Amino acid sequence: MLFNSQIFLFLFLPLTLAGWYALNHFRQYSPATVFLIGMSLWFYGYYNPSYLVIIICSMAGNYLISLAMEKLRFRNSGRVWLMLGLAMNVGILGYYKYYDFLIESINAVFGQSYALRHIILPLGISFFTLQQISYIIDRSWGTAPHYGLAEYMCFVTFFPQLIAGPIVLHSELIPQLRDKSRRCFSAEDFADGVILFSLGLIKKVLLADTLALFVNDGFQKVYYQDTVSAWLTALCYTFELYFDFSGYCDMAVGIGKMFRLELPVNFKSPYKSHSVSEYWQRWHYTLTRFWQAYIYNPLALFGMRRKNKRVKQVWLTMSPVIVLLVSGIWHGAGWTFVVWGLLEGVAVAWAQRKHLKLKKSFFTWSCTFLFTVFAAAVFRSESWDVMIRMLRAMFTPSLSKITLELAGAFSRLPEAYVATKYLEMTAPGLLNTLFMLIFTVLLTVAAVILHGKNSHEILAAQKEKGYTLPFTAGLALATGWAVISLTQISTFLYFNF
Amino acid sequence: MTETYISFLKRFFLILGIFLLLVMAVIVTFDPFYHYHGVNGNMKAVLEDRDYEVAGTLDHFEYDAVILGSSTAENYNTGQFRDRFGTVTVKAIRASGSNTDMLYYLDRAYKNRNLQKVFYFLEIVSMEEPLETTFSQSDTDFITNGNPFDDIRYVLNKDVLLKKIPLQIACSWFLPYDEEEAYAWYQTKTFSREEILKRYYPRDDFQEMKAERDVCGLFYENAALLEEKISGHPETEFYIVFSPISILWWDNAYRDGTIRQKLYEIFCLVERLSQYENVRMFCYLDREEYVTDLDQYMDTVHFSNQVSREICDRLASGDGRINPENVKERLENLYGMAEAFSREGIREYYPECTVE
Repeated sequence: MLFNSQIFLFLFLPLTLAGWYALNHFRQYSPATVFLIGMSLWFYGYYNPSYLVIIICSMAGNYLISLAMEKLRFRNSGRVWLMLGLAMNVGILGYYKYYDFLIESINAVFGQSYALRHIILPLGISFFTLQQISYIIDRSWGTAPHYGLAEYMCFVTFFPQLIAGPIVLHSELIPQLRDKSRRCFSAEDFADGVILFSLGLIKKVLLADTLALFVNDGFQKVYYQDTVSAWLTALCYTFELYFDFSGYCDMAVGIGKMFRLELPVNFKSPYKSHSVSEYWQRWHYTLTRFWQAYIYNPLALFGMRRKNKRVKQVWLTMSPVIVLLVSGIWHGAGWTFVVWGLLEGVAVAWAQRKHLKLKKSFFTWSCTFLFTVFAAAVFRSESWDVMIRMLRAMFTPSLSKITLELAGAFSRLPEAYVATKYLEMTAPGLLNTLFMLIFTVLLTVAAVILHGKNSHEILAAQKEKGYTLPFTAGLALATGWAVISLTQISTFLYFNF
Repeated sequence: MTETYISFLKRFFLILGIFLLLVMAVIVTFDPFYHYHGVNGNMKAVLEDRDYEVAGTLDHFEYDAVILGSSTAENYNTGQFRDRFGTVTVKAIRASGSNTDMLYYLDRAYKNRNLQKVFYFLEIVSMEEPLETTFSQSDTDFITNGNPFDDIRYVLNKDVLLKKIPLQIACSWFLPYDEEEAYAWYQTKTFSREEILKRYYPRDDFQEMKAERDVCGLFYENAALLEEKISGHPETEFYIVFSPISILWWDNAYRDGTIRQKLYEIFCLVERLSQYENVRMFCYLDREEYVTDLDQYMDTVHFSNQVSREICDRLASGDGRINPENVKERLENLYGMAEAFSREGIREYYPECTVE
């Protein structure tokens, strides 16, 4: 089920909230937890119930390993169970996500023709697998207890974070589930949740999906791109990706707040970063946190222990490259993701190791942002060929009228329908002007929003002011506009990863 | 402090609620899909989007005859049917629709109106389709499923608000719009041999001809359903029409070895349905002037408006009737035409094409 769907907004969410608070009101805490698990599984299996088998097996496997860590102890048992857990999780993810990619690569390199299985990636598998890996590792490190089955299932399946993050740690969610004082309704938390959810919905539906019109056409017509249009396409995708994913996370955090369960903030104005390493502390923070805790830190620690200075240096330099390479592969099964991960890794390594520490300035911001736009073009390219074409267009000076043609994508906007039809009949020569005007307004709005406060900062500011009427009215009307736009929207970009 | 939050929530949901109710009110009032009511007083019946509008048309319009068919039937002019047959006719079109889709529309029409005539432009391939309708698998399910709860997809829909309603208003009051041309698309298409040749690529080989007896079982089940509908409504006159299809389509059927089966299916239908007094069957599949004149097509099956008009005239005059007495001969003619084309004539258009 999607957050931005009518069934979610008008049926699922009200029903789940009502059930949760009703059961808790009558102190039926365990049934409330089970109810939340049941509703989360409905949410997950809504489009394809067969996915439920995968997530239930994955949870059962990890839970049993945690139980084995508790009950079946022997020499090196922690390590054995950890390896088994990692193998299981990576195995499941590898099979569903990378099997075809691996076979394709083998076929390409060795000229073979092994059959592909065309496996459909189960929804959210990358997210709930990482979440459970983190738990298993924490168990083996002795920093996590063995939880009750219902608690564990609720931690994994809690629907706001299930499909596309944020990647919540057991230590964040389970203590909140145990805290009975959180099980009663709070107007404050509910109001915060409504605001964050609305801001997220607006970002996703009104901004990301509108920008997607230009971006999708731009990548479809990559063969005709000139320098200006290629950079504009990459820029729009940079904006789209942020509004899409941060919009989703705002909605997730907002729903969490409605249930009085705090989820971690995933986006902290990433496009205000002055270096690539700062960017990764602001973008998809919970993922960075995962890589840092479970890959970067062990690698860096291993490097620090090397006696040879040069070896130590190489280890420390290579650690972020390895981490972001893994991140690239995690994002998608394709060579473009490998390139993207390498690019980001090298950029972070360079930013960390450079001797000349630059002061934050417009220059550092613009260099970082330009790199982000460039990397976004690589990230969005669905094949090697598209990536090469796109980068060639971006870096080989050329000019054509393709930007005007791409801006024509905005003719599909319902908001532009009447004006488009009117001009088609009366002054067709002005159509391009109309589309470029829409494009300019859209880019300006996106830039202003990105320059201003992020959703959490807006929430904090409004709380301080006591929620002004213009803000409340504006938010309600924009939310209403987003709700009536739900019939013509795309799926979330991050569901593919 | 709690008061502030409660006050915010009250204001927020009040404004949001009023906004959504207003949108609903506007959409229900104009109702461009005619889902809740017929045409508003001084507006025209603007029918431009068949998948959304046919069900509402059948539920709420005044009519006593229905044109049933796929996209090939969209160019018929309901005014011409009124002039020729004296009926008030509406179109029930389902693009690439199956026989059960058509029968579903027919049921919907019977539920609301007494039908004098049904003009069923039957495509033989639709008789091999599954017996379940295709509506539940489409995005327009909420229009046909009768579930009032999913109407929310209609009444809270930006496309309806900003596209369909303005179009309805513009066509009713500001633009020339002919209601009798509902769903017609011929104005925006080019009919010429260049167009059709661009869209057809003949196979290089000839498959073994499939035996007539191996006709798909679904055909018989579909035929039984149609027969049941006809026998259940003796008060209605059914015009079952096999519209022309280009010779290139028959070339493909000849090459893939299915032509005999298709002709056999037509034969069976003529045999079975002709026994009913309320059935008149027409066939233009073997009319050389339609089948071989590629300038009348935009692709292998979609013919021009001129052909549509002529067929309507022929239906009215009784020209083109097919019955158990002449069916064999006419289908053999058609087979001969297809064979001659595939084995020789096609070289005129595709010089490199295999003919042996």
